[in-house]
Amino acid sequence: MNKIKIDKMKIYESKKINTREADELLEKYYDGLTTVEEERVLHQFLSQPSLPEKYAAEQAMFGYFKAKKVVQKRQLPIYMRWVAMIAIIFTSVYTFQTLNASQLKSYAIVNGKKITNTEKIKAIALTSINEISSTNSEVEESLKAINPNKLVNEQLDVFNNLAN
Amino acid sequence: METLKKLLPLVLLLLFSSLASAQSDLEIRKVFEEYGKKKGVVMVELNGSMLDEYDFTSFKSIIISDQPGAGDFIRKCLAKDEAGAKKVKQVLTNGKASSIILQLSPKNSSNRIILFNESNGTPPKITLIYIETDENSDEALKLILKKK
Repeated sequence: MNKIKIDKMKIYESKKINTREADELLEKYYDGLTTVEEERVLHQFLSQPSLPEKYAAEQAMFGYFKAKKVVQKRQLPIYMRWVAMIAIIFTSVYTFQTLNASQLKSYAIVNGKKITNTEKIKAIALTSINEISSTNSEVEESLKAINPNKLVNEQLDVFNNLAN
Repeated sequence: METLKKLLPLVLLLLFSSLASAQSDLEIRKVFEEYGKKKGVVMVELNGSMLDEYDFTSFKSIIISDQPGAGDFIRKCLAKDEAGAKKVKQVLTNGKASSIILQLSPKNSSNRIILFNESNGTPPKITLIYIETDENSDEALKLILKKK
């Protein structure tokens, strides 16, 4: 009798059991007649993925819930998070400014019409500079020519004449 | 995530401040907006490589012909902008400023210059120039006034 049992156990060890054999073992298990080895075989059977739904209760009982991966969050130290945040802010601002600057285009509007031809724009810009420079150069020269002391003396002379 | 929420206003502020041009805080901005697209007006804006020759970072000018009231409007704007100027030069003709040069205090590390002139021709011609430069504003001014 003992010999037969051992033989059966060997069979269980060597190959996977099918559902029919599993049902027999489960029945035996509920009757409290299974050996340690038979229970190990049952464990092995129930640990298989994609078993028929009818084994769900047994799987739960034997502790074979679908394993959930517990992903532990790797958290950076607080100062590192701040450094990263500041780096992100400066990078985004710098990128934004660079993109914005590159998008700034030169143009001229003449009588409400927009001109984008670079040569024409340059010529128009030069015209406005010339307009200003011709007048202001004269002004600059005039300002240089003015001697403040002489001017004050001249103005005071007027009053000297009155005093005399 | 919490940190990001706290920093979001700062990021937005930085982005918007970088978007705003240095000219946007000046009153003369209104002149370009008001007269830029009108008939008899020539407006130019130069940026980037177009200004390599001048060492400017930004150049904006407007020439206004035959627009009554434009001169006075510009003078009012310039009077407000003068408050932030470190150097002011002006020439008065018949009690009115016919030429004004404002060297404004730097903004975003850029020196800013405003030049205005109203000629007495017929029709009167008004020229207003706004310049941003990384160079010394005196040097930049010399360069402009030499360009004839």
